[in-house]
Amino acid sequence: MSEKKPFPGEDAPLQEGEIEFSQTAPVSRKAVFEGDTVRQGVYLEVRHPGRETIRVQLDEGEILIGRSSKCRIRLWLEDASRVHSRIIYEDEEYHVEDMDSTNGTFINGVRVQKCILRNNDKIQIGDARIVFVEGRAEKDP
Amino acid sequence: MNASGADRMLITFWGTRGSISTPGRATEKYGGNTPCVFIRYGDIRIIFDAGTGIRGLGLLLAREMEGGKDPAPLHLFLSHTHWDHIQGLPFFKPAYRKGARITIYGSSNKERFLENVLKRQMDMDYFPVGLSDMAADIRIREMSDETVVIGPVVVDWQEQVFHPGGSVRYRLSAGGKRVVYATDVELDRIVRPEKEDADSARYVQEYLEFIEDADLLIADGQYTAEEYGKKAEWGHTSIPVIIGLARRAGVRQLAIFHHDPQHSDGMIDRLWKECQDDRVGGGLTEIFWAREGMTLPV
Repeated sequence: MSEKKPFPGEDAPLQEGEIEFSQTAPVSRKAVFEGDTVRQGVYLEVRHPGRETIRVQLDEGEILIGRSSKCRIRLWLEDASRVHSRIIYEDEEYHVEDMDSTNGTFINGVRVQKCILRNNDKIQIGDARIVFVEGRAEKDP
Repeated sequence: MNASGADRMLITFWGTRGSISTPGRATEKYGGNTPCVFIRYGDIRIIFDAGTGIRGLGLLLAREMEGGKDPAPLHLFLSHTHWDHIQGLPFFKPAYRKGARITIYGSSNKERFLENVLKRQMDMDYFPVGLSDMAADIRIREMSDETVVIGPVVVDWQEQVFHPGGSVRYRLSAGGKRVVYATDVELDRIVRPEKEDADSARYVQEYLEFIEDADLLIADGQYTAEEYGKKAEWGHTSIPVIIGLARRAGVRQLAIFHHDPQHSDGMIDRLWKECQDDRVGGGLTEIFWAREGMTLPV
């Protein structure tokens, strides 16, 4: 049986500007027609114990997560595998995929092998929390 | 254990919605396609139900088949033939592929033969391609034996009571793990029967034994308790009843399934949260709502 994880939102109160768990991405149709794209606002917010929270902007490339130095999101956690999971863009959707890790990849508390990501999903790897955010679209500079 | 799933089952939800598909942003997280669950165990590929979700699965499987290797047969088990469980079949791409082998299993406990029911939904009045015009080798099997054995995978099944027209539940066992697919059944009526008798006690016992110690139970939980009060005898289960039964039977993971078309992502999030709040001292069953695009390792 998989390890129990806290329900999303219970482990940490919402921060200012953070999107409510159930809220869909606030991207207007008008903004899309004006040339903005949803993906411009898509990022991961990496909350790592003992380290500053960082944002990692997503594009269509693969992002590896784990202890190895080859991982773009590096975790200094004993219960993370060297290459623990990855984020991929497939069929116009972002997915998280477990890379045969020892301790598993969880989405909102459920252990998954792979999962399409939706706004404000929490990816849990050990004590790290990685939030998937489809934020407000921004215009090209 | 590896990504190929050679020594574990990988269960993917392709459709989780009950009754009718519900596309749109309000349902994109938990999904708007009607029931379809895909299980991969090594080379063995099993599908539960052919709701609209099977269309997307078909595209994936067709891509794999184009990879050149001889495709292993597909085994499609139907819980029953209500629209939301068969409507995706005419759009299932492997069924149009010569050389693909598909066996469709279902109950023999029907007034009409299963094959006739499936043919009729592809009658010219409803769809331009007939079932017999599909290029794949499609075999339709009304189950008569107690179990279906597919290599190392054993599939048990039972007829369910209290769903209009009937339905079947399945239990898949492989590698020491058990997954139960038991949707479209009104368990409230066996737990709280109009009158207590030998049948009602037997129904509960049979259900508990079937799901006992399941590693994953995918189960009908369409209604809240309040909604159920207005929809008794519609053939679906309330959330508190399925949670109670799963806990009693020692189920490890319960995936609540067949989401009501009126339940938005926000509402399901709230139901899930309330369920978590309520679980203090409530047993070891891990409860969550099945979500389209999610693959679980078992």
